[in-house]
Amino acid sequence: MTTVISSLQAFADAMAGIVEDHDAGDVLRELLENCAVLYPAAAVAVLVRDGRPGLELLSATSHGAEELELLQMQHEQGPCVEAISSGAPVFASSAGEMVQRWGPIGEAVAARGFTGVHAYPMHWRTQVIGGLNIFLSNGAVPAPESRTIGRMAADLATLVVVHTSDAPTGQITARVHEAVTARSVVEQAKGVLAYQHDVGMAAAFDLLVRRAAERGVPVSELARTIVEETHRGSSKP
Amino acid sequence: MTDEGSLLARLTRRLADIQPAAPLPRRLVTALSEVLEMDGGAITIGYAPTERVTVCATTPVAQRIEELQDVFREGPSLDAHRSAVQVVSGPREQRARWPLLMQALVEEHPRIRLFAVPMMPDRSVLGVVSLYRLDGEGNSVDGRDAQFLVDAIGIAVLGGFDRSEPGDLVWTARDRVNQATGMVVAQLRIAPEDALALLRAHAFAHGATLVEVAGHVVSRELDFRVGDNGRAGA
Repeated sequence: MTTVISSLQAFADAMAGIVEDHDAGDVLRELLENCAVLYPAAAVAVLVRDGRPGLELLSATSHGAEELELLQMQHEQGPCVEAISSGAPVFASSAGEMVQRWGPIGEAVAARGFTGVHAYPMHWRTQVIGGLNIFLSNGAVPAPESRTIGRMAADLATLVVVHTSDAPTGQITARVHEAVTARSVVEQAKGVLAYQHDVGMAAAFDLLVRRAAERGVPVSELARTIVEETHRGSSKP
Repeated sequence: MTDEGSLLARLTRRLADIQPAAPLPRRLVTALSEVLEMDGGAITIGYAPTERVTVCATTPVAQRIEELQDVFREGPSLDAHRSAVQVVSGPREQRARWPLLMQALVEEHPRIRLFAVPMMPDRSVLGVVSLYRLDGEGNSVDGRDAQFLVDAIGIAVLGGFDRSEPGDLVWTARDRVNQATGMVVAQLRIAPEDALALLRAHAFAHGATLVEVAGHVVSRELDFRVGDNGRAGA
């Protein structure tokens, strides 16, 4: 019961984000974090198609190198690609099953300690624009409602991408592409902070997110400010 | 010839000292002109003399040298573009090659010496960097050093070379280029576009790809602020 109520709260927050025209990156990040807690999952990511070959990363709960590498491996095949091409959710709940279905990708997922991987397609009308990729770990058995949570999170992620864009309605690829390129400035800001504080990229990202929360501004907006102020020489980080 | 990496590092350090308000091409030529002990220079691009465009000129004299070449249809930039080789001439030879241009210039600048280096990072001529010295005397220019720096500037200004532009890359590679761009922004306090241009020029200088150089920056093997200890791609 608690899970149901927390889920409703989490999804209500995401809906509010869409309606109130918040920063897409922030709404997605919060949605994925809530999804990870409720599912429960070790890591959650959204991969999308934006017109270029392969899949693009749009958002992820972890900016650790290992998790990112796992997502990158799915550029052309793997559970997320499968969910997107079939339009149906994909579930693998043991190392053996992952290896059998996806060979080296399954092995890599298992080698990093994940015990299962789920993927939900992101449907928008007649198309599938991407997939929600969920990694499971030993400590956490998926809740009975996990599949409902996964499906709702995928649907909400779709709405976030489709509705918080300036591209004309109908040009769905352009909308997805816009959401993807919004990440560039966040990556640049990570580079700035990583250099200034002599930390890795994952720590730089955490720092960026924390500061944005402290100042009550969207992460992408703070990222733009950081890059801008650094090259204008007026920032005191 | 000076080591290519340290040459580029010299150019980069000069660049970092120049006011960032000016556009990148102009700052690059200013830095180049200082490294080669010149008084100024210009970048022109385009094929026929009539289609030539001056991208930037660091001084009014440099601007005038280009304008006069357009008027008289003769001069070192045009020759360098046509021949795809550097143009270096003695005072007498200058007057013989470009009589109208030199006549117009020597009135005000009797001892001026003109130089022109074609930008051809991948063998075809992308444009020309022209340089001048008001007092003909001075250290001679190492032709290979000048060629290397001008080619690197061509890459920085016009892009290209290994074609791995951020937009075409797989996202992990693109992220790394963006992260490296951010780090160079922090190192040199320059705009992201300029930082990316420097990463490109550095990749060219070391025969490496943009993604490789970005990797060296992210892993701290290469720091543009402290010079060129990292041997990216080597």
